[in-house]
Amino acid sequence: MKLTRRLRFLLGSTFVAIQSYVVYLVSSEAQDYWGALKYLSVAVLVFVSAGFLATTNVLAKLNLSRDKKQSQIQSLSSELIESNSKLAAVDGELRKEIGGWLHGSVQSKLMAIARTLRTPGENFNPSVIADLVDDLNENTIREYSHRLFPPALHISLAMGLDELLNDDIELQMDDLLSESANSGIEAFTGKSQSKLNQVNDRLILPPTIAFAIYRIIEEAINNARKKSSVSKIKVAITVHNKTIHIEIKDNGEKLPTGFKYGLGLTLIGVYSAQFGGDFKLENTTDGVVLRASLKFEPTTVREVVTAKISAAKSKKLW
Amino acid sequence: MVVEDDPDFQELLTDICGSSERIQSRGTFGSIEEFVFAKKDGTDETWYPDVLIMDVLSAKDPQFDGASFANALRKSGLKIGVVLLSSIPLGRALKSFREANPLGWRGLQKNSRISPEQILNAIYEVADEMDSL
Repeated sequence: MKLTRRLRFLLGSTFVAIQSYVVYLVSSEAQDYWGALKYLSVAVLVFVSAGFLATTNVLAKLNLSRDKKQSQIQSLSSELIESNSKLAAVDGELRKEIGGWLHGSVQSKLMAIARTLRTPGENFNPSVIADLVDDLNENTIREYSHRLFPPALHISLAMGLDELLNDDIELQMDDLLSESANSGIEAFTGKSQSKLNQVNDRLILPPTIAFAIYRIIEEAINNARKKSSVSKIKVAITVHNKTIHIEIKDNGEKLPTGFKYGLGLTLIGVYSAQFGGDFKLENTTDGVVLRASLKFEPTTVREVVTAKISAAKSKKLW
Repeated sequence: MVVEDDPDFQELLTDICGSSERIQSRGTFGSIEEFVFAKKDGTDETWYPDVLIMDVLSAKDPQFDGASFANALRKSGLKIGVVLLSSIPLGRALKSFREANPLGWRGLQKNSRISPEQILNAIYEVADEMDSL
């Protein structure tokens, strides 16, 4: 029988009371040695019983605490196994796609080039080979390299997203991240200290975090676009207190009850977690919203330009 | 002057400029930073060209892109024509630059089909436009 805390306390108290009475009896009522011994035996028995109960109480609490912790560990372990499985699945999908592309598109086009070179024919024109190589480069390799990592991201997040988002997607970006902010290049170019003082605090994002933001938005938009009911998607990126907040809203059908995350959302979770953040997907009054956050240590344009100027001054170039 | 971090393309551009009698190519630099601090031979004076040929995207200048740099040169009052090269679609990369600078620049797609004539013509047109300003 499982004893509740109150009941255990009550029993413990009762035993202590009985014990005290017995001790009193022993001391005041015992007439001879054997009488006292009898009473003492009862007292010891009562005392041991109370001690036993108290000990079992403590042990029960410890077991409960240990069971709870084991249960928590098991739960976390299951979550970890599930996450690892999803990551492995994502890795597998990516490898499959790249492998398929290399085998299907690149290899076949390279074989066509090699065949043309081996059997040139009488009217062989080298420009035919050049055209085949250009086609491979521009229509296959460039397309995939842009899908893997858009080169425009090297210039800025705004430019990278510009390539991703069509005209049907509204983008609102924090001024600190957008092109409209002073990039500080004038101060650097003009070698002007006074211009440097005018440089505002536009943030320079490391390529890793710019890429994470890009991928989160890409996956969220892909998910939204899968719903035929979606006619509008809004993307907003804000910066506050060393955290980037991303919000992607659509006006499509809402999430069904018991909705489970697929590979795309798992990836969003991975990218957010990479930068100490998280994400949430929930229904709104007219659609679905995904909110993600990423933490980072901001570097401003002013800091970068100042460092470049200092380096130039140390080399006596400024 | 040429600012280009791809050594093969750098060599190509230098050869093309060297082949023209009208062009007196003075320098080839791998990054904007190198160019900004370049000095005239034997002096402390910065030498700016009539025309600058550069890539929009340079791995050596992660914070600055070619279009912003060209814009900054114009804003600082320098009369420099610019030929911007890019392997990414030029439209978006040059949007803000184009809006601020209607004249004195050209954009060329970097691919295997770009010919020496195209590059030279772009340089001459840009130089002529700058002269007229």
